[in-house]
Amino acid sequence: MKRLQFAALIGMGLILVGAGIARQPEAQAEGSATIKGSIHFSGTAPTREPVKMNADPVCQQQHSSPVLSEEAAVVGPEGELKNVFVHVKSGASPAASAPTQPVTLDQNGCWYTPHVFGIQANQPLEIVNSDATLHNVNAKPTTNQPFNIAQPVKGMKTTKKFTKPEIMVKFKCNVHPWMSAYAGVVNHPYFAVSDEQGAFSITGLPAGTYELEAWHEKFGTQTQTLTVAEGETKQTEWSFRAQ
Amino acid sequence: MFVGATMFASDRSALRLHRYAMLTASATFLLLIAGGLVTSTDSGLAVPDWPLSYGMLFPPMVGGIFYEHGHRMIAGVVGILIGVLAVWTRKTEKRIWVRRLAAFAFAAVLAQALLGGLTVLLLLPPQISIAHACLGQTVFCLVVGLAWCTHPGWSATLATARPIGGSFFLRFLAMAVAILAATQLFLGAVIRHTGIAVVPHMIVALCLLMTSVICLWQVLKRRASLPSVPSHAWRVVLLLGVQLTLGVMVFLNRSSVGLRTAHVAVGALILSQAVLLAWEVWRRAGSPSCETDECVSRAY
Ligand SMILES: [Cu+2]
Repeated sequence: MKRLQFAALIGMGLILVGAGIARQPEAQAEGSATIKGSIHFSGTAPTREPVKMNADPVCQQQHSSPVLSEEAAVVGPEGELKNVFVHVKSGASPAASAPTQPVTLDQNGCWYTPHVFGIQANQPLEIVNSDATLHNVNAKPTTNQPFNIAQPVKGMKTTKKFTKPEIMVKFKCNVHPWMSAYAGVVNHPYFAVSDEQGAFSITGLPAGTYELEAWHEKFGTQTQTLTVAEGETKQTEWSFRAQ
Repeated sequence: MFVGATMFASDRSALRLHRYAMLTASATFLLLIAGGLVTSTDSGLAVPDWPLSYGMLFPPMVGGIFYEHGHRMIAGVVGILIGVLAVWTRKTEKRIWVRRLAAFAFAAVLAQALLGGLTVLLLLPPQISIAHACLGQTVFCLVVGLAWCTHPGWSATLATARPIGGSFFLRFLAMAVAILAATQLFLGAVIRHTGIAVVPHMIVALCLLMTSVICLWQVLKRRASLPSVPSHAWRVVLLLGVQLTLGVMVFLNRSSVGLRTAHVAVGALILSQAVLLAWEVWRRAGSPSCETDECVSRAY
């Protein structure tokens, strides 16, 4: 009897591992080329205003010092521009299937983390409330299906999907009007968001010629076309200015 | 003696109904301001569900929930106030058209609640949000009209009505003021919910101002035969002065919640005054004098 249970356990384990292996390739990129980039802002960077959170005491209590707005633009000392969504606009073939691994959009300290992110069409988006207060999550796509969900309780999770590519989908909390986030929905894995150093890296590209588009919520979009060979790493430079 | 006492009592009861209608009209005005605040602060979707709020009757009133749920709670109170007004009117009012008007106001406020819920559940489609804004103004006008015609001395004014010269032109003018004021509220709602139609709103504003000033002038010319009508015309013109100033300030400072909401509120006052002006001009100018009880109970 014990042996039978043991065998069943092993069997179930094998099935799970098998399913995992079978699922893995869909998220994998096809090539070995890399496009790196460094994004700068030229001109006087807009000042980041401290966000007033007194409309909700729960939000205010979570921050010992005022949080600076991310909406205006996050610019480093040398003009490094954060929160730029870069994706292959044309030249890449759509992925056969979307990853099953969800992208997480967290509401923590009455703040969306991340502020800008990429996700593939049909990839699950897990929206989490880590705050002991109420949030509504108001997604305002124009091509995809818009939604507005209630997350009144800490720890709540809701999974959503966008079925079509769309640059960009805005998220807004109407309870806390300072909260906003943007998702770039694409149908392939070739996208990235610039970090605090204004750097991004798109890996696993097959050899080819690609049109890259960089999007910033205040400074608009820019494109560059470049060709990469298999195994090659290309560095790109981007410069945004106030519109 | 006995008859006199009865009339006195019925006058007192009419006065109570009138005062209650005034209270309801004031509460409805507050509701319009609360509704304007929801749009001005972009809090319409702060509560995603309806009729409950986050599945609760009383969610924590934080951030945008304060505006959206506050609007719902005031709306609930106003709905009850108008319901009581309809029942009260039905029981004590002799004029059938006043009873019907009150019943219609109650039906309108119920429809308004449904539109409000629908616009939240459908994520604020502009058509429904605009309809919600316009029906809100209509409910306010209906309640103001009820407060107006339940005034105990209201019917008596008809007994003094005399045909006056140029009444057709005057009626046309007063009606034009009311229609233009309603058009302005519609265009204002379109701007608030879609951002378009600013230029038509400005053009109609100038038309409305001109028509109102001409109407005031015509009413003043005939003030001997139209007592108390000039005060309505004056109120419309003065409120329009305030409203134009507010409109320019909103245009220059579009993010100001206070200015935008004040612009909606003054717009509601203008429409209600314009409707009363048109109504008064309509019933007084050119109508034959009405002296029998039966005539008075039918006339509006
Ligand atoms: Cu929130």
